[in-house]
Amino acid sequence: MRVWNINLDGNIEQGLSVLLGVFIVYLIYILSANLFSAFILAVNPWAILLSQGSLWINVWLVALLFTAILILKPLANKKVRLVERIRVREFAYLGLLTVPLLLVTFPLHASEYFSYFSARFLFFGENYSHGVMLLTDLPLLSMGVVYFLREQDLGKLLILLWLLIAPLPEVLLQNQIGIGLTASFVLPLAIFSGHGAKGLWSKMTRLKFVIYFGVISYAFGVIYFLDNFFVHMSK
Amino acid sequence: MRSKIFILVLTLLLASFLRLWRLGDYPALNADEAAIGYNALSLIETRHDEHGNYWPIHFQSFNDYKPGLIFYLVLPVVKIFGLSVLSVRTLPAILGVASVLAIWFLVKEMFPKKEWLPEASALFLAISPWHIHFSRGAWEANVATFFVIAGVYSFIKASSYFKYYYLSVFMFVLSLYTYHSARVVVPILVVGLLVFNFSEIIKKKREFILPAMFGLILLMPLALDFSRGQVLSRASGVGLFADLGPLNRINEQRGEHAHPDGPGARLLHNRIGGYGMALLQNWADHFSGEFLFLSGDEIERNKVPGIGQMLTYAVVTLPLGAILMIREFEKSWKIVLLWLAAAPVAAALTFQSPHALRAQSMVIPLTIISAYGFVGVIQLVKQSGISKYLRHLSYIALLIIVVGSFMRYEKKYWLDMARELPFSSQYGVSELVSYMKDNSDKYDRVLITDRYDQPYVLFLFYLKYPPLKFQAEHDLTPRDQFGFSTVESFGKYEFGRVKYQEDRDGRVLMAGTDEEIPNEANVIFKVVDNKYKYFEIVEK
Repeated sequence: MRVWNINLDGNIEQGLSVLLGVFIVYLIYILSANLFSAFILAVNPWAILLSQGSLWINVWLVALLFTAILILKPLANKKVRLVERIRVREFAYLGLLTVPLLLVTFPLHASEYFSYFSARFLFFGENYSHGVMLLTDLPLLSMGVVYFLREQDLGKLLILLWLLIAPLPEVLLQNQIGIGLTASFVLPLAIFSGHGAKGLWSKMTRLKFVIYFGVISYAFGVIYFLDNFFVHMSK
Repeated sequence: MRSKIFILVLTLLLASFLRLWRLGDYPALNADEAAIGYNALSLIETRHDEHGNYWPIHFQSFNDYKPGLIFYLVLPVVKIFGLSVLSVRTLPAILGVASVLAIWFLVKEMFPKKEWLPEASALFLAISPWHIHFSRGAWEANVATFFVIAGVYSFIKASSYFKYYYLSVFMFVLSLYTYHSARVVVPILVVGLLVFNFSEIIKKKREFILPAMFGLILLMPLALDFSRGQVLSRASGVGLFADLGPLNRINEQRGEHAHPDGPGARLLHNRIGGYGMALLQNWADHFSGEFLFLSGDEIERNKVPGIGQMLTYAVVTLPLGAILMIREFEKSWKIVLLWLAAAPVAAALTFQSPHALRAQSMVIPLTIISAYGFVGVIQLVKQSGISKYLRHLSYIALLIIVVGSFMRYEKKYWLDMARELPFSSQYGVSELVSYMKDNSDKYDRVLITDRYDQPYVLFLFYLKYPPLKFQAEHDLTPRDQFGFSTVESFGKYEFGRVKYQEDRDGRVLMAGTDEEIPNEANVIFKVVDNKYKYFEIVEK
C-alpha cells in the first residue's frame, strides 16, 4: 500500500520514507506484542499518507518508537493500583506546574485539542469519506480503551498518556488541526485499537459468526478506504 | 442521613430559584411556546384548537403536528391564571425542578451503596446549563425527560414492588405523548431494560402480560392518530433524508469511477451506506468535546454563547466518572450507558446534528457519570492521607472550580445571551403588539414583517385574540421546504415581507426590520431591546 501509486524513480528520500513506514509497522508489533495493532497500522489511512510524505516525520516516529520500546517494554504487564500508587502530594506538585499552564492554554486551544478526539476527525472526515482511521476501527478503539481501563497496566497507562499529549505540538505551536506535527498520535491509536481487536477476538472465539462478520466488515472498511485513496483522493 | 436530606432540600431550593426566577420575562416567549399557550386558550374557550380540530392528540399548529400532552398540562394553569408567559411556562419549569428530585430517587435506587452520589447527581442537574435552559420555557423535551426519568426509576423499583411496572409503563407512555424524540429513544431504552432483566421477566412472564396490555391500551389513541399520516410529516421535514448532502456525495463518488453503474461503484457508494454513515456521524457528534464543553448546540435558540452543554468542570469529572464506571460496570451502569447511547439517536436521525433539544435526555446519564467522577475525586482526596489542612484546601479548590464554572454560565445566560444572540428568542414582539394594540384602530391595514419566526401566533397570544373569531377567518399556507406552514393574515393584521415602496392601499401601519424600512421613511416608533433595533414602525 505504501509503494503503490507513488513514483519512486530516483527519489531516494521518498523511498526511504516508505521503507521507514513499513519498519514502523514492525516496531509497533515489537512494542505492543500484538499482531492486530501492527495490521491496523499497516492499513491505517493516516500512517500510509505519512509514509508517503516527509522523511523526517518518519525518522522521528522511528526514534520515538525505539524510545518507547526501551521505556515501556520493561513495564509491560506491571499492574498498578492508581489510587494507591499515585501519591496526592506528588500530584499536587505536578498540579502546581500544570494547572496554571492548562488554565492559560485551555480556553485558547481547547477547541483544536478536542477536535483530535472527535469522531469526525478520527473516523468520518469531511463529506462522509473517511477520517484518519478506518470507520471499522471505531468499535476496536472504544473497546481497547475499555479493556485497558479494566486492566490497569502501567505500560498502557503511559501509552494512554501519549495518546492525550500527542496532539499538543500541533495545537500549541500552530493552533490548527493538522496531521504533520501530530503524527505520533496514530501510534497509540493503533495500539489501543489492536488491544480492542485482540480482546474481542479472544472473547468471541465461540461465536464464530461474530468473528466472520467482524472480519468481513473490516475487510469492507479497508476496501472502502482503498477506493477513496486510489480512486477519489486524486480527483 | 439528616445532612443528606438537608443538602437535597437546599438543592431543590436552588433548582427552583434557577428555574422560576423571572420566568415570565426572560428569555422572550418564542413561537412554539405561544402556540402552546394560545391553543390551550382556544381549547378552553371553544373545545377546538386554533385550526378548529376537536381535542386533538397532535396539534396542527404550524402544520408540524406537535405532540399534545404539554398543551393539556398547560391548559389548567391557563384556565386558572389566564393566558400569560408565566402561566405557559410554570408547569414545565416545575417539572424541571421535579426532575432534580427524580434523579435523586433514581440514583438512590440504582446505586444504593454509593455514598453522596444521589445528592451530587441532583446538585449537578440543578446547575446544569443543558437542563436549566430547557426548563425555563415550555419545551416538550424537558417535560418528556421528566417522564423518562420517572419511567426508568419505576422500572428499577419494580424489581422489588411489582406494581411499579404499571407506573413505569404509564410514565413511558406519557413521554411518548409529549415529544417526538422520545418515540425513538424510549423504545430503545425499554428494550434494553427488558434485556437486562430478561431472566426475571422470563420467571414472571404471566404477570408481565397485564402491564404490557395496560401500555398497549394507553398507546392506542396515539397509534390511531399516527395512522392519519399527517402526523408523520414532521419527521419527513426534518429527517435525515431531507438532507441531500449524502446523496449528492454518493452520486459524485460514483461519477469518479470508470464505470459509475458497475457493481463495484454501487456496492461502495449507495444510499444505505451514505445515509448510514451520516447517521453514525450525527450520533457521534453528540459526544464531541466542542459540543459538550465548549460551544454547545449551533442553533441560537438552544444555546448560551460560549458555553457548552455541560459546565467546564465536567471536562475533568466526566472522563473520570467514565473511567470509574468502566472499571466497575455493574448492571446499573449498563442502564446509564444504554441511556447515553440511546438519547442522541432521535437527533441523529435528523439533519440538524448535534441537537441539544432533541437529545436533551442525554443530560441525565451525563450528569450521573459526571457526579460519580466528582465523588471519586472527593474520595481520592479523602483517602490520600494528606494533612487535614491540605485536604480542606483541596475541597475549597474543587468548590471554586465548580462554583466558578457555574457563575460563568449564569453571567453568560443573564447578561450576554440576549445581547449576543438577539434572535435566540422573539424579543421585542410583546412591545410591538402592545403598540399595535393601542394604535391599529386608526388604520385600514396593519402590515407586520415575517422576518422573525411565525409572528402571527405571537400576535394571537399577546392580543388574546378571540379563538372562535380566529378559527373562522384564517387560512394556513402550504408547507415550505422544511414542512412548516404559517398564517398570513387575521383581522386587520397581515404578515409577510414589508415592501415600503409598494404598499399603498388605504391608511397602512407597517412594522418592518431595519433593512425593510428605508432611511427616508418617517419612523414613528422603534422597538429596541438588547441594544438591537428589532422593528421600525412607519405609516403610509
